[in-house]
Amino acid sequence: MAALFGQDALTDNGPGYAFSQAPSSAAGGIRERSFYPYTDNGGSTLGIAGEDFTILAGDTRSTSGYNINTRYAPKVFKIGGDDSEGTNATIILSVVGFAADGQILKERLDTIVKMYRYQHGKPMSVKACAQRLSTILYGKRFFPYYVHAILGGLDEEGKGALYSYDPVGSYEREQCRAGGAAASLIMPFLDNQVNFKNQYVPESGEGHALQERPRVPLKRKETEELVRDAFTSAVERHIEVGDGLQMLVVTKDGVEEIYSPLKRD
Amino acid sequence: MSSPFSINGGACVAMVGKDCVAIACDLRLGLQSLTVSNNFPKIFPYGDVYLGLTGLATDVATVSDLLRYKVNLYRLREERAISPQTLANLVSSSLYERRFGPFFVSPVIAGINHTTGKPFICGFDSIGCIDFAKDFIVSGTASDQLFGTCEGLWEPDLAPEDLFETISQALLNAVDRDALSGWGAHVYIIEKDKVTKRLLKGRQD
Amino acid sequence: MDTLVAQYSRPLFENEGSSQEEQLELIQTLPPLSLKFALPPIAQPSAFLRATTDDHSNPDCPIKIAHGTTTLAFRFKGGIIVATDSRATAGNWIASQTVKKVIEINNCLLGTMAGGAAGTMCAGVTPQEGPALYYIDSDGTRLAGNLFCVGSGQTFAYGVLDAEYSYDLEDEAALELGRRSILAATHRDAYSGGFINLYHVKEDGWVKHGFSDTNPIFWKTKLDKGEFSNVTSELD
Repeated sequence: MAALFGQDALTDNGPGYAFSQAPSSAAGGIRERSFYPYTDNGGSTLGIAGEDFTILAGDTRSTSGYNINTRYAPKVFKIGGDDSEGTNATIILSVVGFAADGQILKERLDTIVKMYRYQHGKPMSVKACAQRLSTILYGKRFFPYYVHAILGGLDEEGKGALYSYDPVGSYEREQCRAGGAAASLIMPFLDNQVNFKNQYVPESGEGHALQERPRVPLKRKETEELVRDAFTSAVERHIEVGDGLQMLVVTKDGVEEIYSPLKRD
Repeated sequence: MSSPFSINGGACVAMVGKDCVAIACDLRLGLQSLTVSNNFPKIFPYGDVYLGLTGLATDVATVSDLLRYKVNLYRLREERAISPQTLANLVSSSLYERRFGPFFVSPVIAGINHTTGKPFICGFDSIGCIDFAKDFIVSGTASDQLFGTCEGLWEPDLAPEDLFETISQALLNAVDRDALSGWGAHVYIIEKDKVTKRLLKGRQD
Repeated sequence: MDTLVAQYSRPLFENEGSSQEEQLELIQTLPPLSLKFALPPIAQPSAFLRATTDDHSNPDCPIKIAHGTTTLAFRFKGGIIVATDSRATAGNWIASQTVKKVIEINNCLLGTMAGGAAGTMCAGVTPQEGPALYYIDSDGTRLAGNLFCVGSGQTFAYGVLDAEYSYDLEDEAALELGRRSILAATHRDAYSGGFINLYHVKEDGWVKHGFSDTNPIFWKTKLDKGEFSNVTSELD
């Protein structure tokens, strides 16, 4: 099946390795040593904000190349709880990309949000936490964390809030966002099912007069089903996604964790 | 980035329904970031079998013409229309002939077999390896996106009108996440004794 | 020789782990006012950055920073019009269609951003200068002017803007020209699109004129005014 001319330069090194690991050698026996501090650990994440809740989900597979490191490595974390378990946390974070960078980023943000509460005697708002996360990422503008982060929580009005980040801290509040290996598979599906893109109201007109279907916030149950659908689809067509689905749901009652199995092939 | 497969951009998808098949493509022709034409269909009819071609535009034109020539000769010699299965093998062997200097195209075939009445779709890599699929085939610069939307929206035994809605939504939402595809679309719904061709209104950015 | 000395005379692992400063930073909830940047522990951090984040010099770079843009701003008798698209691309992947590329600095200053090597624009009014417009880029170029378009779709925007621009435009006509120029760029440039973000900088500060989807605007422009006749709206 492998064509002579790869259609995608990235897959030529196998999946997941961001670039060739072999040091190149020059004439005269001089070997060039390079600094390659990143590995792509695969996996995918997804976040959807609802009327009074936010869901962050991620698969639990961790890969390097064609190998599976483990079938249970969480990508979604509680931030700024009472203890190391994240009890009473109100903010959640998902990280995908290079797992080691993701781990450190989560630890740093968790520490900062905890310190904020000790010093101010009140929990940090998601809005403030979102801005702080951007600053942390930008602090490594010249040596970036190789991660795609998504932050979730409830805003001051109790509405679902979701922020997504590029590796160097550029961020935006959105309704939904997919990250990681299968982002390109999941995101167009979400555009259609969450933001009703390319949908029109039947019989609202003829041809060009058709009215766009207005966006309405999704219910919690249907959002959970959508997340599960998105991941079962991604598992079918992406080798770096699978094993388990971890979901964290923030509501006014706190953070609920849901785990369900995915295909392990 | 300057892979021959992604200079001109474009996307194509085929799907199986109940006693029907569908094939759809976008209409963009570009040169990297510059959109040159918004009326460059990538689906070509050969009798009532349809071939979709994405990839390098010059090869799309060449391969479609080459196959038209070969299918015409087949019809004259055999005195019957070509079946989708036969066209698939013809495409495969024609591409493999160029094993070490391939056409930069990713073909897709959709049709209904005359004798059995069964729907048939398949896809190829650029050197002719056939991918027989029971559900759907995707190709082009938006193939990742199409895999996601098709896997999420498709279900077995869709009736013609439902299949039209499914393939249209799958294509439109996929190309809206790809910079090099879009600018409108064509959809063919192929039933046993009827073919419906529709133009989709897509985003023009 | 000097480079050799420089390379080996500094502590090899000075940046490894958490230094005392970094630990202190974690305890402080506010980031320091002057940002401190982490650098990779190698001789040429710039080469490393290029290899990992610049998809121009290394198409296989692992970290794709989003760019591709059209932004424009022009001065006219009623102030300054600022308009942008809202698309962010990483390679051919459209990462977002809803980026806010206009930065509201204060109630009478606006900035625009374009990713990658492209520049930014600064538009604002001050009692000293009146309405002023500057083009700035990462090399330090700083140009004052009446009309600028920046980004991958700049040429398409210039095409419309140069043809229709006049300093004596009325407010409504100027806003429409900004909108139409961005629309042209989103149509022809694959890396521009999404929504049109429109601002008008006046004597007493800026006014926002919407963040509107290009899709309905495009079809309205085509069907009502007969423009974009290259686009087919009927089959065969």
